[in-house]
Amino acid sequence: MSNLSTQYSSSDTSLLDQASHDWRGTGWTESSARQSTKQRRNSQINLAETVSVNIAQFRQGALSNPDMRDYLLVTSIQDKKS
Amino acid sequence: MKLFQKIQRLFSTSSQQSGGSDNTLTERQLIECESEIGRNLFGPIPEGHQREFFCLDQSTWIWYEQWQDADQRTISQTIRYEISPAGILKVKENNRYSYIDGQELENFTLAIKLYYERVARSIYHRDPYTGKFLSSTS
Repeated sequence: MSNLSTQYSSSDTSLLDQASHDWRGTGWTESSARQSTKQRRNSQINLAETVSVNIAQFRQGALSNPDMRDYLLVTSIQDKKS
Repeated sequence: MKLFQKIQRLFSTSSQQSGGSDNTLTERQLIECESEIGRNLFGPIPEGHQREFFCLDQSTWIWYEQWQDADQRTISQTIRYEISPAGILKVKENNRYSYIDGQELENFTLAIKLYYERVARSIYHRDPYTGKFLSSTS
């Protein structure tokens, strides 16, 4: 799955160091950058958790609701087979 | 290896075989419908390849790809993504595992967000943001 491969290189670290140097005096530090990266990562993990739980709930809802089950059976499954 | 074998079996038989004994919908059929959306999120599938990408349960996502090499041998690759508060663990068949980060994490979360929005609307007829049924089915 190459399109999901990590493409970090050692130059990324250099860029981060350079960025923190350039922003010196503005209040934006390397620590801020790292904190921001950490928050972004946490936000992505939260998104993944929420999405996965919601899908599982939608699925269970569809299986347990006869009306929904019939509706899906007609619209999704039979259309797919035709 | 048990889970990977289960996934391979999941897609090794036809849709007709996956149905319930009567007119009921099965979880497997729903996963197949979802994967039809999931497999197309990553661009064109190379000719001769079979690709599946789907949410297995509330903490697991599966990428599965199968193709034949030059000697007509069937090759397959399964990658499991496990979601936990500590991160998203990528597990390959040879038990190599690592938390994804950086661009790979960006790409993965974008893919599952698109998957969620499309699956919610077109399969479950739900608004992905509120979870409520779309007006046409309510």
